[in-house]
Amino acid sequence: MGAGMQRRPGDSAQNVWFLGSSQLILSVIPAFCSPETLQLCEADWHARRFTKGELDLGGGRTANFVSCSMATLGDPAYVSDQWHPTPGLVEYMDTIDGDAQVIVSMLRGNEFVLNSLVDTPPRWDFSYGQRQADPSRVFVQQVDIAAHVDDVLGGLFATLAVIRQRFPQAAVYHVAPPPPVEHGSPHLEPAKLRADGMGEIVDLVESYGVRPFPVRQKIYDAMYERLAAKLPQVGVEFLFAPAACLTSEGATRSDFATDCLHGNDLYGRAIVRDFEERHLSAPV
Amino acid sequence: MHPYDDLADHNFWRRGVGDRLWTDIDFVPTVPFTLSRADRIGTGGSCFAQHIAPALAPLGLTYYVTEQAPSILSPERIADLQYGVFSARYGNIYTVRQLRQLLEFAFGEAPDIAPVSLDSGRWFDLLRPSIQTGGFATPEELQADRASHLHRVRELFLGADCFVFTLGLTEAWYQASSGVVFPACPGTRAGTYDPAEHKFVKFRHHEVVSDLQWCVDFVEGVNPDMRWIFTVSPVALAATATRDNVLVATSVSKAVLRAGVEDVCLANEHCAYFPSYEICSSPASFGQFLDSDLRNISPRGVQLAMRVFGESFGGLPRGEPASAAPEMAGADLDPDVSAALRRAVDAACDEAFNDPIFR
Repeated sequence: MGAGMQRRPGDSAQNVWFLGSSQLILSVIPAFCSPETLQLCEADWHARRFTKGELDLGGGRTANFVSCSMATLGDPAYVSDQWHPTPGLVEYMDTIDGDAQVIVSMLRGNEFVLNSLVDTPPRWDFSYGQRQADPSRVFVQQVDIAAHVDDVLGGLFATLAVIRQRFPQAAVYHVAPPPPVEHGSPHLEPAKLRADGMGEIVDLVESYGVRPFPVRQKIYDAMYERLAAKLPQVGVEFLFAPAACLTSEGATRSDFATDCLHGNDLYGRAIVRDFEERHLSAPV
Repeated sequence: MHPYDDLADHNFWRRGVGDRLWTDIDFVPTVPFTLSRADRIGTGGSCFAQHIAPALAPLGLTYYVTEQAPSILSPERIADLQYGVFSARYGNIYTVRQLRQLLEFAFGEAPDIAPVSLDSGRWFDLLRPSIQTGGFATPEELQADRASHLHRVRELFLGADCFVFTLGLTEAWYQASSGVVFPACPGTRAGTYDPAEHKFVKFRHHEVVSDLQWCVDFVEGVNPDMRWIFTVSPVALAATATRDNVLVATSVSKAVLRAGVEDVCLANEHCAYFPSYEICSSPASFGQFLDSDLRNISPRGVQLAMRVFGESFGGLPRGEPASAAPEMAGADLDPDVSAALRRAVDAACDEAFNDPIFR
């Protein structure tokens, strides 16, 4: 069943499922669930348990969610022309009703920031579209960027392929993590990074600095535009963050971010509303 | 009394060379400067220069690389793109003119007008054909890579404490319309040979001296503390575009380069010569360091040259002196016959009488 399907009044709430880990927990859950549910999700995340619940989208509409810690899922393997999920991923998918009609993945997302934030030497850059590489940085060719992207996102691609394979009747979407926060964002201050539990990154940031925003943005675009082009091969549609969450330069607005990795409740609300408007048509 | 009375053993062929094992010869009795771990040492030059970089760390010296591989590249890709072979990804620099050209491009003394070639849909930098064997996908990527590379070259010569340059050739090909000198004749490694555009040059001694002195002067202007170590590659020419036999052409090439380096080192206190050429290919070594093709230097020869480099510039302790009998690899001469041969040669050479042992 493809995108743009309609939900009729009285349709089961089990039809729409949001999946994710920290991206889901820090943005969508606080926007559409009670504080108690948020606390439960956070506690279960630390304990590596799945949390299954319901999102109150307002106007009598609901959706389901299953949150997890990514460490429990692992990476599927591609053997003998087939995807083979890990036991953790199978267990996770078992929490989703078999008749799910729409699955929205917000799984992973850290791969971007982990690969782009710290400006470790040698400082490199690449050209992307009209955006030219800075000659003061070591030049990386497109073919190498593509190879790197495929390596970094291979696990996510495999996970989405497995989900699609498991739920052949569902429309499956994946939502990109938030674009990089802008240069000078308070979320990049060392004190904020420490408060957000990113002590290891802080040490690196203090040693090497934050990679310039133009380079982080190119890395983000290269990663997710490539993924967006590949996912239709396995029947998954890719969704970028709505414009309301972004600055004029395409960065995540600091007031829409929880930290340098995650959107906040405003971001989560914008994601879901945008998804509803574009992919879940109101009944006639 | 005369000036030869008080000279050291190394000043005399008999005591300094003939009576010694080759590995015990004091090839570099004095140097104008030494190197320490704190010195950032850059390398460049012909094929033989590729041996110097990996030898520096074991000698306790610091190899200075300004064009380092980004962490996102695989080890295979890093090797394919020749990161780390030299201090920056310039590939082999065979002639002094090429070195001068590189500096001119890197510091904006001349516009970077690198000839490029399109072959089977791939773009090749004809000034660096070996650093990207498969070519670039687009001319824009080629130019972006060059711009980044030249930035690294500038950084190299601004920051190095010493640069070890291995001179390889006097023969080269250049682009007639621009004067740009190629590391390899177009059509051999990359590109297509065009007889109307690609011309042959054999640099003369005065040109080698002029270009080398220009390089020394220019770098002194931007990095006054940088020292130079020059060495002449002991590897013979693979081919000559002259009418000479390649062995004869090799002799000329090495003689011109050796003499050119000598002139520059005599004129510049911060320039030193390292005799890898003599260590590996002197006739007195009986070719023991030649590889099976009689052209390349064997690993044993490279090892000896680098050991002497370490002893000379890096403070490596010298080995214990071996016996006085000359070592001839693969030979087992009767001592009486070798002594008779030596007397016969000495009898024809007045210079031998500078050795007090003959008075």
